[in-house]
Amino acid sequence: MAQTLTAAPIRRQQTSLKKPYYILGGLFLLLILSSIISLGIGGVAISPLSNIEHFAAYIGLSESKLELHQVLVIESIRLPRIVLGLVIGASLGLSGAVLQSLFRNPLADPGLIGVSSGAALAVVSIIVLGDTFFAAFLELTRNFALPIAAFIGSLLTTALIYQLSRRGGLTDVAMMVLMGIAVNAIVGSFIGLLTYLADDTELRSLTFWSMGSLAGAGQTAWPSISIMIVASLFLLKLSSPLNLFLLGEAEAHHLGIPTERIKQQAAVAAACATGAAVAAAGMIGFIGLIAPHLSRLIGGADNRFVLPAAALIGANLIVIADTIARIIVLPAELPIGLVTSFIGGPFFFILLFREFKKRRM
Amino acid sequence: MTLKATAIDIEISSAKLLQNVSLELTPGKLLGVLGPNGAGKSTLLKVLSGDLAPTNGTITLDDIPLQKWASIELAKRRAVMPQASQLAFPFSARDVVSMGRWPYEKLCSPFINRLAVEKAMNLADIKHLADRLYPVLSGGEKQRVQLARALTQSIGLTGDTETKFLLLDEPTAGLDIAHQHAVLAAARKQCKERNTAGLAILHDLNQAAQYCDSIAIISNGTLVSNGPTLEVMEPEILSDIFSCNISKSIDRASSTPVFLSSI
Repeated sequence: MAQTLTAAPIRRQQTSLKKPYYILGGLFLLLILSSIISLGIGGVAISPLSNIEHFAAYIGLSESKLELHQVLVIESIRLPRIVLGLVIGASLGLSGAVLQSLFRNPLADPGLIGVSSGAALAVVSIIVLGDTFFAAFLELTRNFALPIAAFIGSLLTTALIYQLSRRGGLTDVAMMVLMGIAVNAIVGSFIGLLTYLADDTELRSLTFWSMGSLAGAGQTAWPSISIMIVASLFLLKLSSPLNLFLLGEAEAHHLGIPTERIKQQAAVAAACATGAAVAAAGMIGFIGLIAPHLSRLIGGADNRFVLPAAALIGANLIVIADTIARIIVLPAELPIGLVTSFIGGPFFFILLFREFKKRRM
Repeated sequence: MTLKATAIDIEISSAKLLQNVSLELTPGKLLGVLGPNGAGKSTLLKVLSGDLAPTNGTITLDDIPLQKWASIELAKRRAVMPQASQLAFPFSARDVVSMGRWPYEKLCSPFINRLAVEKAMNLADIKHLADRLYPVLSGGEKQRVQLARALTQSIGLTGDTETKFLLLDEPTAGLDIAHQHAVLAAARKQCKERNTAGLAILHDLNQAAQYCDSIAIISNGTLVSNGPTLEVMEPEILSDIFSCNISKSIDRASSTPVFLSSI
């Protein structure tokens, strides 16, 4: 009797520790699967099997049966796009999870609280006003101009929101969301203003920035992609300290976390990742909200699981959303931000509804 | 091996919260801190935990100023139970308690860590809540989970001989009477058995008299009195500080002092 009593809790704990890592493997497989399927879907349809055969041919496992134009489509159009999508999805999912831990609030999302808008405003200003006002900046930074501008924009917004919405170590949710509204409104009006100043090509790229698109994939996106990868790897390393942050800032300090340093590192890395994502593909909303929530739903709140899972789910969501954006209005394509908002809006509504029910109880 | 505050002043935006407070925590003893609301009890705890740097005066652990300690080294020496801790994320009670093992996570085997967690949960009587989610627990249950987290942090490593410091900010607030006693008994047991130096901010005079080895009384930011429990807890001093009538009698059955208060 005594044996069964002591054995039970220990066994239970082991399963609860191990379970999430199987899920990570599953999510990774799902990601590969959706990428392969996405490679084949579009104006030129290619079956998943011949896709696998084509890429296996590079390491001598099979022979490619694809024709030249098909190879061109998947290798120079779809593959870069999917790679960019994967990295952006992972960065946005991760940044969302990290911001939620940092603000100790499950509703924080780079888009919602205005971090993405801050980045977008910086990018749009550089595009429209760059030649006139920021010539020196453009010359200094060259290829990295847009990612760096986006990073500065998102970092400034993060710092501003952090300063204004926190009181006595706690985040004032209402304040945080209102700040987001204010920043989004300011950015909206600026982008509106700039549309009057912009010429035709600039105008096209403005819609691109405000609604997001992966069409910019290619060589120009490499600086952003490298920034996102470095920032994401760094964010993953913060998962354990961020767990303790959820208890509260003072509590984390009592447990031996150098809170100020971790806070700065997390904010800067998340701003880098979000900023670079915006610089490469404009504002893609709600990924940072949905991905961490789904992770917590399937594997619990431990950040050591939530962070990698949010990255994988975010990448999955972007690949799927981009596939939908590409094919739903063929031969044209929808901005991907529209697709994610279409899914994310109702999702956010459900979250609020659950919160509402909790408060009524 | 002491945590020692010498002539501490705390001034925040020209409000003097603490003035010339000197206090020392002794290994194996539980110190109770009494005083009216706003007297500076929590501020004192924040100074002792290293959250707040004193404006004047020094606060040292083993003769080294607290501000010079790396946070991780400090965490191995002192644990804090906060007054109220909100957590918006669905961690189980056991997960929250396990966070108390963070300073030792890489220093000993997972088995030792788990043992320390289970032990602290037993002490705080939350074994039955282990798999429940923290956000849905009641206020009192949350308090006990936080106590277990602080206890597991102050258990340390096997063969650890350094004195640990356990700081409890109103550990009995929001608890039913049985658990108030259980919490104070657990804190006292930790102090006696593991030679821990404890400090608890309390409001109930009888509980303070029953569980604390010594008492510090704070009023208006100054340390009014500090010493062995029965010497310090004089009805006249208490009546004066809490501005109400407090009388002391001896309970015949248990021959312990009982404090009665009225306006």
